[in-house]
Amino acid sequence: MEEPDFDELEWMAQGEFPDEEDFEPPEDLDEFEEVVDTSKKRAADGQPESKPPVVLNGLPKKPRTEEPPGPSQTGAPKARAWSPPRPTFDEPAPDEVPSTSGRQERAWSPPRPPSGRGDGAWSPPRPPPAEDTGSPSTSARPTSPPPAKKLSRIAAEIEGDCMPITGPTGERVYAQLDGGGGSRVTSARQLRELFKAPGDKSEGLGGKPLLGEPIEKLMERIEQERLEQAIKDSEVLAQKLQAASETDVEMSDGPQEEMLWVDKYAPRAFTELLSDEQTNREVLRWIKEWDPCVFHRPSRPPTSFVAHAPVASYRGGFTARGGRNSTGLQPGGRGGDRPDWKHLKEAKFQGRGRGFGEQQNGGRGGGRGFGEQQNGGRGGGRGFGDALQAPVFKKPSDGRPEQKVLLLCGAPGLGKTTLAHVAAHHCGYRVVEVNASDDRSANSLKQRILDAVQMQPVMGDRRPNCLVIDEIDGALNGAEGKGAIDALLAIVNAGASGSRDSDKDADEAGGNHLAPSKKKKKKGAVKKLSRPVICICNDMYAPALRQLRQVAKVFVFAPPAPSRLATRLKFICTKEGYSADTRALTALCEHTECDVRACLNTLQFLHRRGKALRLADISSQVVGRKDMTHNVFEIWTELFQRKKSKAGTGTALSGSPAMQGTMTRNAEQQEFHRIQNLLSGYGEHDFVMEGVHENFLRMRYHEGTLQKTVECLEWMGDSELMSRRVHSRQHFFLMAYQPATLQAVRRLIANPERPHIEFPKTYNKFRADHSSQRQLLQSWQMEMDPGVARGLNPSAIIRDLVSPLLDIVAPPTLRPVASQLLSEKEKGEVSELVDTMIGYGFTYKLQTGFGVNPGAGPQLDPALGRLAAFEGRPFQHRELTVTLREMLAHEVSLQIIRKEGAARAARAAAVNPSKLGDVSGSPADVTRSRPAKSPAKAEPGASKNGGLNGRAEAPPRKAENGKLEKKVVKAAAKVYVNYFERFKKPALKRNGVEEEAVPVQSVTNIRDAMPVLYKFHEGFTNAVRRPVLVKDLLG
Amino acid sequence: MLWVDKYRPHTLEKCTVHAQEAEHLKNLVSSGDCPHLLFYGPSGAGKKTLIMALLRDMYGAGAEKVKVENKAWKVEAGTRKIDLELTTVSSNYHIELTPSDVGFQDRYVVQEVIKEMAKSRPLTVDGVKGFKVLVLNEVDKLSKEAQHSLRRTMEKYSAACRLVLCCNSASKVIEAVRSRCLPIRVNLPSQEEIIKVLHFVSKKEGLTLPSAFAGRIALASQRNLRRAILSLEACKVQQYPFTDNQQVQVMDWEAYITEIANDIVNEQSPKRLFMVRGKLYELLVNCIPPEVIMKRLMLELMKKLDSELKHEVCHWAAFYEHRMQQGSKAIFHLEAFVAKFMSIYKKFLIATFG
Repeated sequence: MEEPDFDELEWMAQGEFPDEEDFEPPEDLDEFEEVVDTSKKRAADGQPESKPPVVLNGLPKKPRTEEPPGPSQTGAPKARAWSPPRPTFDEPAPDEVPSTSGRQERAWSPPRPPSGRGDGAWSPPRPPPAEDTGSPSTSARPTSPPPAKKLSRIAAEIEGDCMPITGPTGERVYAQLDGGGGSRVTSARQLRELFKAPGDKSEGLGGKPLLGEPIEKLMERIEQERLEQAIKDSEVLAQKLQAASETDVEMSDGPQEEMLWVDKYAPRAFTELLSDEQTNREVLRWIKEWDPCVFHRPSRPPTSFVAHAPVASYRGGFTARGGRNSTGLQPGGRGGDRPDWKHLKEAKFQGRGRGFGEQQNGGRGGGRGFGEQQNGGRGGGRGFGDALQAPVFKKPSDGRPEQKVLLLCGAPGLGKTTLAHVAAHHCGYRVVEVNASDDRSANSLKQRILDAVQMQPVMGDRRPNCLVIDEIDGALNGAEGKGAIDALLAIVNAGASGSRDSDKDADEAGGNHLAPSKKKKKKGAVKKLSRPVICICNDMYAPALRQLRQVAKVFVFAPPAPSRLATRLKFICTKEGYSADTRALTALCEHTECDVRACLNTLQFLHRRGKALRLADISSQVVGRKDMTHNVFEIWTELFQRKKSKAGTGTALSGSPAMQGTMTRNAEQQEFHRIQNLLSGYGEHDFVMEGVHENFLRMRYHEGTLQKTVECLEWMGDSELMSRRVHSRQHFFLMAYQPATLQAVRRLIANPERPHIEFPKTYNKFRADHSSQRQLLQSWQMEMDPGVARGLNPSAIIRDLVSPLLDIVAPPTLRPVASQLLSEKEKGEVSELVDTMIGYGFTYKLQTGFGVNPGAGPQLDPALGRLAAFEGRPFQHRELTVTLREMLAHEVSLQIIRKEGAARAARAAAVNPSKLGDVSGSPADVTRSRPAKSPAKAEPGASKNGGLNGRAEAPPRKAENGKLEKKVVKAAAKVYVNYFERFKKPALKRNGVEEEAVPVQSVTNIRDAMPVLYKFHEGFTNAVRRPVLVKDLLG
Repeated sequence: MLWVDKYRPHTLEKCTVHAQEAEHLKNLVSSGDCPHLLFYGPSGAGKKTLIMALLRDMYGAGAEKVKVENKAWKVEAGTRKIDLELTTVSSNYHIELTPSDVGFQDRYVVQEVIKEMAKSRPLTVDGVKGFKVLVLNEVDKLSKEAQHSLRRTMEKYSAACRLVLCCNSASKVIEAVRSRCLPIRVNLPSQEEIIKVLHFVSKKEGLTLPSAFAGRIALASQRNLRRAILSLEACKVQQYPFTDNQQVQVMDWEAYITEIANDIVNEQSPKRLFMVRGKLYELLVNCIPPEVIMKRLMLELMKKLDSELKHEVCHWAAFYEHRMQQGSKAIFHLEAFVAKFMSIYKKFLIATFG
C-alpha cells in the first residue's frame, strides 16, 4: 500500500473523481462477489456441454468428471466414420411401433457379428451417434440381446424397404427402412428407458415405471441435479486448481485457454505495470498536465491513484481467482503497511487505508508478485511526492504542458504500449491508437490526428480522446514517414506562437471542439493541439524522429529487473496452475532480456505442451532466443570481457573435479555458442574487427614475448583476407566463417576486467586523410606542365620528387632584395626557379580564409609541405623568407600572364586569322589613309613600344623544347610578324611607296591584337604596357 | 626546369643509361611499325623516358606536344550507366592513360574507352603513320577482368593501334596479355651508370662534382636515377662548391621509417606497437605504397639486427607482404609484421641477455 499524502487524500475527499473514488471500494467488493458468481456460472455453463449426453446416454454419472465431454478418445474417429449410416438406425425405430423396446434392441444386433471380425470396429460407435444427433432413438443399449433381422448382409432377408450400409471395413449390410408413424410413442418409450437409469441411481426409483410422472417434472429434476452437480464440480475444480494440477486447469479453462496470457494478464491498472515506476508516474503526470486544457479543472497532482490503484489492480489481475479470495479476505496483515500510513491524521482515511491494506493482503496471499510490485512502486511514489514539492507545475499559458508530445522509447516487449493505454485510461481518456498497421502517410496521419484531437464521439464513450501513435519509428522511416512526422510536428507546433488566442482556444477546446476548429479551418490555419499525443517507438535515434525528439518529452524504458519480472511470472504461473521453478523463470527472463511479452508467450507455449518448466528447457533450443540487434559496443565488450561462469561457482562445491571439468567445458561451449550467435547476428564483421583492432592493444592480457599479439594480428589478417575475398569474388559463403576469427581473438585476449572501449575512428580518419592527400597529389599533377607530368605517377612524386623539390625551390643563396637589384647570375637563378615553379605547377599564394595567420605571408600552393610532413617529425625543409616568397609569387604570376597572353595571341592568330584581320581593319585603314604623314613618328614609337614590351618584342627565334613559356611568347611575336607578312609583304615588295607604312601597321596590329589584361590586388598586368601612339590620341 | 626534365633524353639515340634497350627499340621502329610492347621494371628506372623517346622516334617532335585532359566518359554496362573520369595525356599521335585510376571499374575503361580509342584510325594529316599508340600505365594494377578484356582489344584493333603497356611487375600481368606483347625489361641503372649520368649533368651545368660525392649520391639514390639527379640538384642548391663529405638529403618518408625502426628496436610492447601503428598510418596517409613501407622497414630493421635473426625476419617480411598483397587493409599486415618482429626480437633478447 502506498503512503497517501495528506494533500492527496484531502483531494480525494473533495471528490475530484467521484466516480472512481467513492464507489470504488464497494464496487470492488461487489466485483469479488461477482467473480465468485461468474466463476461458478462459468463452471455451470461449462457443464451442460458435457452433461446432457451423459445423462441421455443413461450412463452413470461417475465417469463424467474424468472423461471429456466429447466421445472417448479411441471411439471418436470411428464414431465419425459411422455417422452417415446413423439415420438408418434412427429411422427404423419409429417403424417398430408395435414391437417392444426389446425388439428394437434386437435390431441392433447385426452390427455385432462384424464387430467380432472387424476388431471391435463396430462396437464403439454406439454412444457417439447418440450424442451427435441428440435423437432419443440412439439410446439403444448395447447390452440388449440380438433380435430378428432388421439388418442383414443379404437384402432378401429384410422385409420391406431397405438401405445398404457400408462399414469402414468395406462390409456391406442392408438395413430395413421404417415406414412413418408411431415415432412419438417410440420416443416416449425410449424416454422411459432413458429415465430408468438415473432413476435407478439417484432417485431410487428402482424398477418402478415412470409413466405416472410428467416428463417436465423429470426434466426439471434433471436440471436441478445438473446444477448441483455443476456446483459440486466447480468446487472440485477449484480445489484442483488450488492444487495446481495441470490437467485440471486444462479442462476447466478450456475457453479461456484461447486467450493469450499476454492479454489475459495485461496490466489493467496503473500499479500493475511492470515498467519502471518513475517512468510510469512521469507519464501519468504528463497526461495529467493536460487536465486544465481538456477537463477544465486545475491540474492537480495526480497522486490519487496511489490510494485507489490497488483496488483497480484487483479488478484486472485477480478476476480469475477472485472467487476464493473473496472468502479469503481476512482483516489483518495490516502491519506490513502500517508504517506507510502512520503519518495520516484523519481517521476516515485510516479506515480506508485499512481496507486497502486488507485487500492488499489478499493480494499478497494470491501472489507475491503483486506485493513485490507494490513495494517497488513505493520508492517511486516517494520520489514523485518529492517532485511535487518542487515548483514543477508552472502555470502554462494555455493549460497545456510544456511539451505537447510524449515519446516513449524502449526495446520491444517492455510494456510501452500498455503503459500508454493504461495511463491514458486512468486519466479518463479514450485511447485512439494509430499503429503501424494503419495507413500512415502524411495526409492520413494528419487527418487522424486532427480527428482524434478535435472530435468526440456523440454516442457511447464520451471521454476525450488521447492519441497513441504506436511504432512511430518503424513504418515512418523513409520519405513518406518524414512527411508524416512533419505533419505531426506542424500540428504540435501550431498555436505555439499565437498564445493569445490559444488561451481562448483552450477554453473552447474542452467543451466544444468542433465549432472552433471549423472556424479555424476557414482561416486556413492548423488548429493547435488540444489533446495529449503519445508516440511510441523502439529506436529513439531513428533519423525520422530527430525533430520530434526535440519537441517531445522523451522517456526511455529500461527493462525491468529479472527478479521482479520473475516474481510476476511466478504469480501468473501459479494462477494458471503451471508449476514453474523460480530459477527457471529467472533464467527465462534473462534469456529473453526481460521482454515481458516474450516471457509470457514462451510460458504459455510451454504450458500448452504440458511440461513443467525446467531450467534445461530454457537453455535448450525449446525456447527460441530473442533475435535482438545489439549495440556494437556490447559486442566489443563481450569480445574483450570474459565473464566468470556462474555455473562453475554455484556447483563447484558439490561436484567432483571431473564433473567440474565437464561443467566448465559445457559452460565454455555455451559461451562459445552465445558469442557465435551474437556475432553472426550482428553481421558487420569488418566493422567489429576494426573496433577490436583499434582497442585490443590497450587491453591487459598477459604475455611475455608478444606471442598473443602476433596471433591476434594474424587472425585479424585472416579475417581481412577473407572479407577481401568475399567482396572481390562474391564468395559470400565465406562470411559464415568470419565470426570464428573474432572468436579466436577473443579466446586470446578476453579477460574479466571490464574494458574501456573507444569507438574506432582511426581507420576512417586514415581513409579520409589519405583520400584528401591523394586529391592534393592529383590536382597538383594536373597543374603541372604536361611534359613534366607525363613522366611521373603519384607514387613517384611522393617517393622521389617532393623532398628534393622542396629543397631545390628554397635556395639559401637567394638574397631577399628587389629583383632589380639582383646580379645577372642571381637573375638567372631566379628565372630558373620561376621556370621550375611554373613547370611543376606551384606558386606562392597568400592564404585567405578563417584561421590563417595573415603575417605568415604567401604559402606554397598546392601545399607541397603537407606531402613531406609526418606527424611527430619536425619539418626538415628550409623555407624562404616572406620577402622572397612574395617576390617569387610576383615573378611567377608575371610570367604566367606573359605566357597566357602570348598563348592567346598565338591561338588567335593561328586559328582565326580572318577575325583578327577584321578587328584590326579600321586602324589599319586609318594608318593606310595617311601613310605619308607620320612615318617618321610611327617608327620610333614602334620601337619604343617594342622596348617596353620586353620579351614579346625580342627577335623571333626558332622555338625550342624545354623553354615553353619563353617559346610561346616569342612564338606569339613571330606569329604577328608572320601574319602581317603573309598579307602585306607582296604588296610592299611591289609598292615601294607604302614601304614605310609597314612598321606602323605592324605596331597598331600588335597593339590591337593584344587584349587588355586587368589584374587586381597583386601581380601584374600588361595593360599599362599597351602601346599607345600620340597620333591615335590626337586623331 | 629541373635537371631531371632538362637532361631527359628525348630520342632513343641520346639514351645513355639503357643504351642497349634503346638500340633495340630503335631498330624495331626503324621500319615505321612495331608490335605491342610491355615495359616493365621498378619505379625510377627509366621506362617512361624510353617510351617517350620511342614515341618521338616514331612520330617526330609532334609526339611531344602533349596536352592533359580530364575526360568524363559515360559507359553503358548492361542496364546501368557508369560515369568514369579519366585523365589522359595525349598528342596528335598517341594517348596515355592510367586505367587503374578508376579503381574497380577499370574493366569498363578497357572495354569501352580503350576500345573506342583503338577503333578509330588516327587523322593522318601528314600521312605518316597508319596507326596510333595507346600507352597504358600501371597495367599491373588492373583487375583481372580488365586484363582479360584487354586481350581481345589487342588483337582486334591491331590494325589501327599499338598498345604500349607499362608496369612495375610483369608477374601481375596475365599470361595472355604478356604473350601478345614484346616484353622489355627496364632494370634500375647500375651505380656506375648513375655516376656517369651525374657527371654528365654536372658537366652540362658547369659544375665540378667530386666523384666520391657522386658515388654517395648514387648510393643514397638506391639506383633510382630520377632520385639521384634530383638529389644532385638539391645538394647543389643547398651548398655549391661540393665537398666530399657533404650531406646527401634523404627522403622524408625514409627518414620517418628509420625512426619507426628505431622505435621498434628500442621497445617491444603492445603500447609501443600502438604507437608504431599511428606512425604507419601516417605513412599510408601520405600515399606511400604499403609494399614500399614494408620493404623499407625491413631493410631498416636489418641494419640493427643480429645476423642470426636476419633470415627469419626476411622470411616473415615476405610472408606478411604476400598477405598484404592479397588483402586490402595494409595496416593489419604491416602491424602484424611489426608485432612478429617485436616478438622475435624480444625472444632473442631474452635468450641472449636473460
